[in-house]
Amino acid sequence: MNTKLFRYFLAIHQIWLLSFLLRDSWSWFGKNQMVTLRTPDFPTVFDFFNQSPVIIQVFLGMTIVIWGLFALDKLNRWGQVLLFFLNVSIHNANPYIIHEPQQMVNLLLMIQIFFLPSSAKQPVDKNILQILSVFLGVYYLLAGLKKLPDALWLHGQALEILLLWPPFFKGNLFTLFLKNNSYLLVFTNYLVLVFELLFLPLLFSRLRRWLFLLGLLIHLGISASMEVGTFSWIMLCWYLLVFPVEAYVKTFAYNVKSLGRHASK
Amino acid sequence: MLKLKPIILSILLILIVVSAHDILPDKANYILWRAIARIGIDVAMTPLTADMSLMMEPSEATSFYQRKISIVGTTKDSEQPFAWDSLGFYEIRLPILLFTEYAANEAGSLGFTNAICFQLKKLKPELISFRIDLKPPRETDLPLGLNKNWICKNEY
Repeated sequence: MNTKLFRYFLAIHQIWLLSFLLRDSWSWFGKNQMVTLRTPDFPTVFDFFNQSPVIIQVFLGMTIVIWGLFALDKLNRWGQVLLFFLNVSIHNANPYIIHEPQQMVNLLLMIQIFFLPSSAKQPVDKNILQILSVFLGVYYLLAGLKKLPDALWLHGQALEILLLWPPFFKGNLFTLFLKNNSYLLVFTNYLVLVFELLFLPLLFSRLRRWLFLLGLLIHLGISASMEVGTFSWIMLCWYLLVFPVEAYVKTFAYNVKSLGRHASK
Repeated sequence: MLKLKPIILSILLILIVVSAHDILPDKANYILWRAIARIGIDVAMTPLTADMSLMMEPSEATSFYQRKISIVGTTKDSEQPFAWDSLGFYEIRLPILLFTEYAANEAGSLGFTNAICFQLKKLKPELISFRIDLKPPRETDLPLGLNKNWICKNEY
C-alpha cells in the first residue's frame, strides 16, 4: 500500500479550507478573534500571527502552496515538518473555524511525518497500518459507547431529530427523501450504532471489505444529508490509510469488466 | 528486533485515547500534552463527539436537539430571527455550536462573539446584538451563553 490517494485527499481538504479562509482572513484571524484552546494561561509561539492582515495572507498563501507540493509528492521530510508547523499555527490562531476535522488533519500530518514513508511511492510498514487500524476502531468504539446511554439513540429517534435540527439541516432532495421514510431513519439509526460498536472486531475479520463499503456509504450519507462540514472527508482519509482501497477499486473494476464480457457473450 | 516506530506510535495513540476519556485527572492530562498543546495541537478526541454531552440529558424530558433553536438579531428598534438557510455552516452555524463551550468564560468567548457579529452584520448591517434562542428555556442555558443577548462591540 502506498499513500498517494491519502495525500491527495488530505491536501485537497486543506487547500479548499484555506482558500475559503483567505476570503475573510482578517475577520477570522484578526485582532481579538483569537481564541486560545486548552491552554489559555500561557502565550504560544504563534502569537504574532494575528498582528497584521499581510502576515495572515502570506501565511495562508504559503501554506496552500506547500500543501500543493505535498499532494504532488514534491515535499521532503523537512518540508513536511514546515507544513506541520504552518498548519497547526493556523489552527492555533483561530481553532473554532477549522474545528474537529482540523484536529484530525494535524494528527494525520504528524503521523505522515514521523511514521509513514516520506515519499508516496514507498510502501507503508504493516505494523504501522495495524496500529492505525486499531486507533480508528477505538475511535468508532468510543463514539458508539458515548451514544449508548442516550435515549434518542436507543429508541431509534436520534437521526430523525438530528437530520431536522436547524444548524445541521441541509434541505436537499436526499434529506427530504429520508424525512419521508421514517422506517429507513430508524433502521439507519441502529445500523450506525452497531457499525460503530463492531467496527474494531470486524476490521480484523473476513468482513473487512464489507465494513469499508458500509462505512463509506454511512459517511457519504452523512455528508449528503447533514451539514457537518468536512467531517466525512477526513474519515475518508483514515479509510485511505487503513483499508487497501486501491486493491478494492482494482478488484471492482476487474469484476465489472468480467461481467461485461459475460454479458456480451 | 524490536521496531521503535510502531511502539512510539502505539504509545502516542493510546495516550490520545486515554486523555480523551477522563481516566487521568485533568491536571495530569495537561502535563501530558503541555508541550504539543503549546504548538496548537489539541490531541484529545473528546471534541470529536463533543455534542454528545448536549444530547445526553437523562434527567430532562427532551434533549438539546429537541428544543427549538433560532438566532435572533437585535437592532435599534426591532428583534428578528435569522432564516437558517441564510446562515453558512463555517461562518455562523459552527461558531454558534462551539460558542457554548467557551461562553462560560467571558474572556474566552470574545473571539466567538466578534466572529459571529462580523458574519451576522453582513446580513444585517444595523445589528447591535445577537442571541442564541432555545425554547423552552432552562436554568442551565445562561452559563452556556444561550438565551442571552451578546453585544457586538465591533472589536475587529
